[in-house]
Amino acid sequence: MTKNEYLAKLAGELKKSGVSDADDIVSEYEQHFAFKLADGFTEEEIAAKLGAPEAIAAQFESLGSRGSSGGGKAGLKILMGFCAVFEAMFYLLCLAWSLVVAASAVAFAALGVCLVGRLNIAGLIPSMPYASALILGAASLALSVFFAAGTYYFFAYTRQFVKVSVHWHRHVLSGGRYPSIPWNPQFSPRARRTLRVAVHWSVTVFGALFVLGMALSMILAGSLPFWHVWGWFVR
Amino acid sequence: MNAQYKKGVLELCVLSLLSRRDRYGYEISEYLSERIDVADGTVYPILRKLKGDGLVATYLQEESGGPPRKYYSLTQTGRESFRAERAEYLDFAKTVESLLEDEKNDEK
Repeated sequence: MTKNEYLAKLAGELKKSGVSDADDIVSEYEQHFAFKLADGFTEEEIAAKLGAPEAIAAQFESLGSRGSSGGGKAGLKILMGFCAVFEAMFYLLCLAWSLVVAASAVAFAALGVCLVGRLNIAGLIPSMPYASALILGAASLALSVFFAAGTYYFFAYTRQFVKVSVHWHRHVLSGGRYPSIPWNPQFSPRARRTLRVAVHWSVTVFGALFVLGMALSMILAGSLPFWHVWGWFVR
Repeated sequence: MNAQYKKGVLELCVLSLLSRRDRYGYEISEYLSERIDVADGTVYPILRKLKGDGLVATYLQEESGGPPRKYYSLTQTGRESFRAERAEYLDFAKTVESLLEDEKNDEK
């Protein structure tokens, strides 16, 4: 088969099976001929190596026929839109939770800094000996690290959930073309290790310092409910 | 080898070639048909399918002394999909290989 015969046959087969952009496809094969001819092959050899035009056209045809049943698709779209509303509500909840954790991290950090740095803004910090304030302040800072790591986790999860969700919508609407992606965020090994260390240490340090701070306060005040002695919670 | 089976793997091969750099259709077709026993013409339908799936995009680039070439490049989705499918395939191939090796040892 010569080049022109092959291309004409291919174009005919493609049009017969209703493949769109037949011209575009044929031009790609025309280029293939051009390259091969430049390499010194004959038109017959090239045509034989390409494979039968009927078989090639059939391969293009099998692509086009997928996922284009009009009515079913509209119904699916409505259903998916419905799903999206609930998904969005869930992700808003996730986001709100992440924000709460982030706010906690900031609050504990502020408390820690105030206690350690002897800052008493607007008289919010109750009076106590500086030794107690130092230890409880350090405990508060450790807790803030714990919440900061939590914030990172929750934001990463929320982000990944949204990503998976968008991916899933595209997957369903395209008729199952996208492979699934994992639900949990993919941290690098280094980030994972850092987070794990941060969480372990911050909890341990917070626990130890908190107990120590309470014990020290009781000893300094000479009373178990030391807050009564120092006049907390009374105005 | 079964043609249907080969087609699935060829898709992965095409994605792999494109993950390294952008290429034009003929380049991909040549590279694969030199190494794998497939008809030259089968690569173009695969490229078209990948484009339809949104895994690759095309652009035209002028070449000195010739018509502009149609280049294929991976999209973000294509890159993600390739990464996932690659891992899946390697895992699968390893299992099959060890299974087949076991069989050979059993026969001894």
